[in-house]
Amino acid sequence: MREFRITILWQTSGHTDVITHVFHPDHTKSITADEFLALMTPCVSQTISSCSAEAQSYITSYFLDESQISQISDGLVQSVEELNA
Amino acid sequence: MPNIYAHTGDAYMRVDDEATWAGARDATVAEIISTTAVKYNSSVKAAANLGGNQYDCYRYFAAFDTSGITIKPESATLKLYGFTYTDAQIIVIKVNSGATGNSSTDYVAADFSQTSSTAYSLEVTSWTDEAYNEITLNDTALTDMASLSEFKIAVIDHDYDFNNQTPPNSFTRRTGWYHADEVADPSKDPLISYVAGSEPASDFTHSQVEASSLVGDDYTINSFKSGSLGSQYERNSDQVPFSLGVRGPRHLRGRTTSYSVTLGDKNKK
Repeated sequence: MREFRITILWQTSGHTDVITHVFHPDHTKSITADEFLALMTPCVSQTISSCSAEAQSYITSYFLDESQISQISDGLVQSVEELNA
Repeated sequence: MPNIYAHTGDAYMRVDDEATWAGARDATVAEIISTTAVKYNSSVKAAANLGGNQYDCYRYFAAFDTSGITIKPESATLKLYGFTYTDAQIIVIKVNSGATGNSSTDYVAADFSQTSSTAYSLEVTSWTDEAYNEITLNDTALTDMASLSEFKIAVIDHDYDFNNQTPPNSFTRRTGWYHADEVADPSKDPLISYVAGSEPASDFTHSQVEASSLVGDDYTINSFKSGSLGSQYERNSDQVPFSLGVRGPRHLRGRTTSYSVTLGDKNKK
């Protein structure tokens, strides 16, 4: 099992969301943990709307709800780190 | 009514896109967890895609410090401030004590599988956006509030998650609300509002309880003061409480004097 912590700063409100993403053998995922890390690392220090289309799609599909998706230009990806690496 | 606010380590947990409903519902670990959300419009979700080969199961977890409640409350309501989706067919259930999350520790992804089959409420079928929704907690919940210092709950979909039925294809049901957060203003945070219970009535009156120490096992009255003995013991001290109806003890010592007493009459012969 591998775990990643994604930190997103909503710049207007100043609120920081910390999201933990777990890759567990029980889960069915279209990408591996390594592929996820490779996809997300370039997003660091960028707003979600500035990430690659594939990264945006992953973030909006699995991390955000619709109210946040409408504000992805406000969401700054501060860090993507693997826990217990 | 006293209020108890949820610890800020409350969480939404998601399992997405599993090939079977069992794969989503029975996952041992959540795929996604966040304890920092201010609000989430899909705090609870049950969904299946058009082809019936991708299933989503979302649950909400919270914990309340009930260490100060020692007497079973008369009633209690869980209050959740609605946000966006109001599909509500949800239920509040008990989270196993083994879950990591509690009133001082954040929930973790592995707590996803720490749900129990114990219901803390009836099914909730109506939901209001941008207002508090009040869910009446049942007798089991009230008992646990008094007996447990950590009152851990999950809110899950009723029809598919709690009842473990596979959602039909092309189905989505979501309910959202505000979560507990670090912001000082708790005006939309989850909370439990309850009516405190009272001490259960004793089977013994004060006098009878006290009398147990005043009256010995051999019925010896060790002391007497008005109002402290049960009514069966209390008499006017000027009133002889019985009539012998036979010769008194002085006769036994060889005297012939008879001795009689009339109840309620202070004039003794």
